[in-house]
Amino acid sequence: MSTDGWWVIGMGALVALLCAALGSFLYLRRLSMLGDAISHAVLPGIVLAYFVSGARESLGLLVGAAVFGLLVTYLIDWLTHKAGMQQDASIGLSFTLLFSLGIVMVSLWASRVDIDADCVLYGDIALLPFDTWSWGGRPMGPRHFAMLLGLDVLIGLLLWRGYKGMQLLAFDRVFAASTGMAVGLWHWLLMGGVSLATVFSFEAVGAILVVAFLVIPPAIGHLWSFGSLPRMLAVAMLSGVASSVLGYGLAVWLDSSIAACMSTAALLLYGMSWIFHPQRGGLALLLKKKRVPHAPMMGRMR
Amino acid sequence: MLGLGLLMGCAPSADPKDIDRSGKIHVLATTSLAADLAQAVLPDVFQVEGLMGPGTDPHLYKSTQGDLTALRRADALVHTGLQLEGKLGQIFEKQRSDKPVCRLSDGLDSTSLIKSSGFADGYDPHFWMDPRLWMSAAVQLSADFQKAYPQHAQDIEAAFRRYKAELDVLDGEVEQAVAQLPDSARWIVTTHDAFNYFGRRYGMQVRSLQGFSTAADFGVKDVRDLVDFVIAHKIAAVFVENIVSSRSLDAVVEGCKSKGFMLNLGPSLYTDALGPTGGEADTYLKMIRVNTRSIVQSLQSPPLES
Repeated sequence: MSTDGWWVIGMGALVALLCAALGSFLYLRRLSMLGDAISHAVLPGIVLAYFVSGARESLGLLVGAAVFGLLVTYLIDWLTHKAGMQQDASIGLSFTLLFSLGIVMVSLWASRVDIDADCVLYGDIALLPFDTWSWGGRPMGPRHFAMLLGLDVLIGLLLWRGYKGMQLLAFDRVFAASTGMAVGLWHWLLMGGVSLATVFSFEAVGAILVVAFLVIPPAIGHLWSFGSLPRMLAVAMLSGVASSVLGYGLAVWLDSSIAACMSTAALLLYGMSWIFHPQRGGLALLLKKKRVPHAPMMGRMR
Repeated sequence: MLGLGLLMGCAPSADPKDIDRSGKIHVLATTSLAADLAQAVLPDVFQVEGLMGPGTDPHLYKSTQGDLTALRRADALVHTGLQLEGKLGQIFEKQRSDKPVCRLSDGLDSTSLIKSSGFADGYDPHFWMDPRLWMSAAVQLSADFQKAYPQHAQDIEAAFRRYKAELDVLDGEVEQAVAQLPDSARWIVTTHDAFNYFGRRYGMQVRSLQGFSTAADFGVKDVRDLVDFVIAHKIAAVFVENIVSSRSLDAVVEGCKSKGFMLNLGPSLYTDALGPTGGEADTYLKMIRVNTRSIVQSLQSPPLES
């Protein structure tokens, strides 16, 4: 196999580790669609950055996008906890609001410029090996690979240092607050981490892969967690990495989009792991011929 | 997981030093139009391939695993520039340290370009609609490849001169065809803004429903404005492009009908991509001829008012 292939698989694995870890906390807080919300909400940030910088390729775009990624998480939080809206509805409202705002801004001021997230922000994992950097004259491999590696380390440190706080926050916000811990601090560190991680990953590998990896590996991890958060995280991260490897193979075989194949591989893994799950799986249900009551695992996990 | 090893085994080596047994030099171009120009200007020793097939909208192109291999294996690259290919164009530019890269828009003087916004990079990318500008792109391509492959310089120069003559003939033909239309009928109304260069070259006025990006949506107000506009100017026909759906202009035709103005939906015009291989518009020369014929014939028939 070629070096390019290994870089792409490695990149998929880095994105998978990042998204699976963050996505697990989002999953437990019923915020799985946050990645998709951010992928839409960044549009006004991109348009504003374009107006400030006047160029469609700049660091400003990333900053603008990240700011609006954080803004949408703030809106969702405010609508849910201050305005008393259902969380799924507040996610829907927040990102459609910002996305439409972006569309209006484009049609008012930039209708003669080809500007949308697809062409100025979202990258493509297939093009990763062609965007390299060097340090002191030495070739250092793909630029985005190094960027994601740094992001993985940063988010890894954040989750490691903040594990207790994020864990409490994930299961019982009120209880967490009653223990006197800085609920707000950990909440915003997690949200900041998610917003930063998703926007940078969008730029490196495109939106579909990031959204898929934020949702599917954590879902697999939850299925096989049996009440343990560390196990959920481990299974999620492992299945994410496996999806990257499998997905690349699939893309070579079908000569198709690498990101779409990696997402498809993650879905296949979810299907398999559901079928063979000892209690809730398709096979188990078939054998027992009766429905096992769905155990609400959300609140019981420690 | 079955056959993963097998799948991996299939992955072709992307070693750029792979020697092609036929001795051909592989040129990879982004759009079908850029590939067509390279095919026309380069002699047979160059094998030209396009990443985006016929009918593919460059604004919405998604790459596949095979594209990665094609990009790695290519000996030389050609892209349009002016942000037409978005991020792909940036990636092509970054390959300059490894292999010859030709950006067609480098052959154009910025004064010959049409501005689309107040910013430095805000140019309308559809310059191939003016055959004389496409000629400048051909000059750039020919010069870049003669410099990169001096051993083939003479053949390239000969092929370029042949093609230049054909572009001259084409330009004259289009000019004559448009001259058949009375001034008041010289309107090109389309879905997205691809005909500004064509209009400027041949003295036709241009109006569109959408902006440049085919991804952006059109609004109700856009449709209503266009309906009023078409009726006010007694325009006989409007045109859809081969890369977008006709849904938007159907609304305009319906809108005119409800006001008693019979507007025709002309044949679809080719803009950002060639038609299918073996079809009526599978080369640039054919594409411009087909477009011109469609435009002139549709606009000649006088609009019917009921």
